[in-house]
Amino acid sequence: MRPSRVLCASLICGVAAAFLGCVTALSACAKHRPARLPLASIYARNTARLEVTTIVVTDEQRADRARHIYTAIAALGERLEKEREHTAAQVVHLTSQPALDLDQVEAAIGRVKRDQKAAFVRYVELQMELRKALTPREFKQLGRFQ
Amino acid sequence: MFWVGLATLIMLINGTGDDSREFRRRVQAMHEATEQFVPDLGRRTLADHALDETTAAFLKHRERLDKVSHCIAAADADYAATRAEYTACLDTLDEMWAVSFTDFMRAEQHFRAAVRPHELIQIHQKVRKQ
Repeated sequence: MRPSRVLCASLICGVAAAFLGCVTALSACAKHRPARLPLASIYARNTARLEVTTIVVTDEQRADRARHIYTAIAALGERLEKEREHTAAQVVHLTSQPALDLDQVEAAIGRVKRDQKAAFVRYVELQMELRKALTPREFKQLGRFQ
Repeated sequence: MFWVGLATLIMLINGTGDDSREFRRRVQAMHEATEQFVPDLGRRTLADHALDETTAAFLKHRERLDKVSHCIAAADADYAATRAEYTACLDTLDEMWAVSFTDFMRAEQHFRAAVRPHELIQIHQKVRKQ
């Protein structure tokens, strides 16, 4: 066999082995997949779709509308993240006091819940708007991007 | 002051608890510091148990969040999803936080009951350095 053919065969075998390795590793990981966090997964899903909207939606006006909605969702996630950090800093401050005021800690958690609910209401509104901007086919195609 | 359960709660609020490796690293450091500074075997076992309770509470909270994630992901994938279907995903939010808060506070109390004040300070100092 010519050296170039040997090299080529080795490369093909190497790529195939690497692919099989990846598939095996992914299968193993899938059994122990870590919990997905709502905010992180919402953010990842929607920003991934933001990138491809203009490819999937050919109508310029509707594509712009969909991009605007995806951008608003991303901004919503970023704002919630900041609010979360701010509340956590408040709880850290409360726990650094000599006497722990559990009522105040509970109130801080109440603020987290309130912020989460308010952000979610807005998120649902944006999702409803998204459905008006996209056809079912486009929606399904964009849904492939996670 | 050094709070065990509350520190975990803070991690969940501020996002550091999003990375479960960071949480596990911290709990491992607390187990090691407890081993080092709590000489009494009986109390050390109780303290370790309280740390295990904290881990269990953390994992349960993550599991509950995972369910919320799946619910929202399912609605996001359905063109015909309604507001009501989305809203149902957050039905358990209040209960979720209430249960987690109770679990973390219980673990906190158990840990404090097991270790002496000077041991708590030593554990705190050791964990903070890591």
